[in-house]
Amino acid sequence: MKRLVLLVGLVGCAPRLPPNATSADAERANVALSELADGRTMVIKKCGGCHRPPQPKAHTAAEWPKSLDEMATRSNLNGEQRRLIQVYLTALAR
Amino acid sequence: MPRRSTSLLLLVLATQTASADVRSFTQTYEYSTTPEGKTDLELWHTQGRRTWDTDTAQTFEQIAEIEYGITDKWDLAFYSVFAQSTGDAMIPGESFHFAQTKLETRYRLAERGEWPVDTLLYLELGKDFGQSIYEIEGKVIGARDFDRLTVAGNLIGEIEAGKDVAETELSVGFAAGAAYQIASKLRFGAETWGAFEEEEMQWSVGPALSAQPGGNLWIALTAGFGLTDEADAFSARAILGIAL
Repeated sequence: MKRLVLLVGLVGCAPRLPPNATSADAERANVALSELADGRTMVIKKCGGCHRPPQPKAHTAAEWPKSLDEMATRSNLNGEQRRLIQVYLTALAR
Repeated sequence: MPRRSTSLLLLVLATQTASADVRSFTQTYEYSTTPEGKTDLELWHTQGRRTWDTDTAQTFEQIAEIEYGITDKWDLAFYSVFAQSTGDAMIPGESFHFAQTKLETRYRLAERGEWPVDTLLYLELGKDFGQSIYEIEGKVIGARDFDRLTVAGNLIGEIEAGKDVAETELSVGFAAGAAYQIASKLRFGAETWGAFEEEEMQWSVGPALSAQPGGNLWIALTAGFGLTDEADAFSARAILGIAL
């Protein structure tokens, strides 16, 4: 029973929204913090319309562009939206 | 060889990286709308049998649906419904025919994950072909993702009106499901659905499977087993979705 409660608790506490970027993330990726914030907003808005918004740590920085190639058409991203999403996901990738 | 093919298919489904607009269920609506400016085609194929007897009435329904995203939170869909039934000793059968036209709209009230329960409103207007029967159906759709687990519930209210409707009354229905994302493009779960009408309850339950074998193509399958006498003893629905 204890294990079940723990499992339900862990699943229930799983992050539902992608994390906010910090100034350390911006510095490491050499981009403005506002761009990362805009990218996160775009991930929630555009990706979340169809499925759970992806967590940046789901892929490496090298893997994200390929993944986005497929989804950009599906979710009708324009060039700027796609760029912001990629900047955010790669900056916070695993 | 079949085992090798199955393994290969699972590998392909597991190694593709992106999730997409794959429906987990065929009876339960989830928290999803068509992206702004995009058009989807969905083909629904449903078969049912009243009982397990060999001479029981069997029904068939084929729906062609076109969905369009007006905004990222609001979409509009048009359905053409075709139907056929074999009939039985009590009810005459119907040959394959155009049965109904429907217009559907869905609106997501917030971004996914912002609310404790993601909530979507659904409205559908239908007109039976060749008859004065007009149908209004509303749904409140609640859903929540728990990591790879998606849980969704629908509360449904439906009313029929028109000269060919004997008695206008509200029927209440429900649908609920839970699905686990086994791989990025493969989900497995179960769903249950039913309706209350004239103090009788139709209630079914069954497994649900969905997969996205290609970038613009997905399929969802549900088998349903009747839990009450008013429900079909068995039903099966497949939805094939194509992003245009």
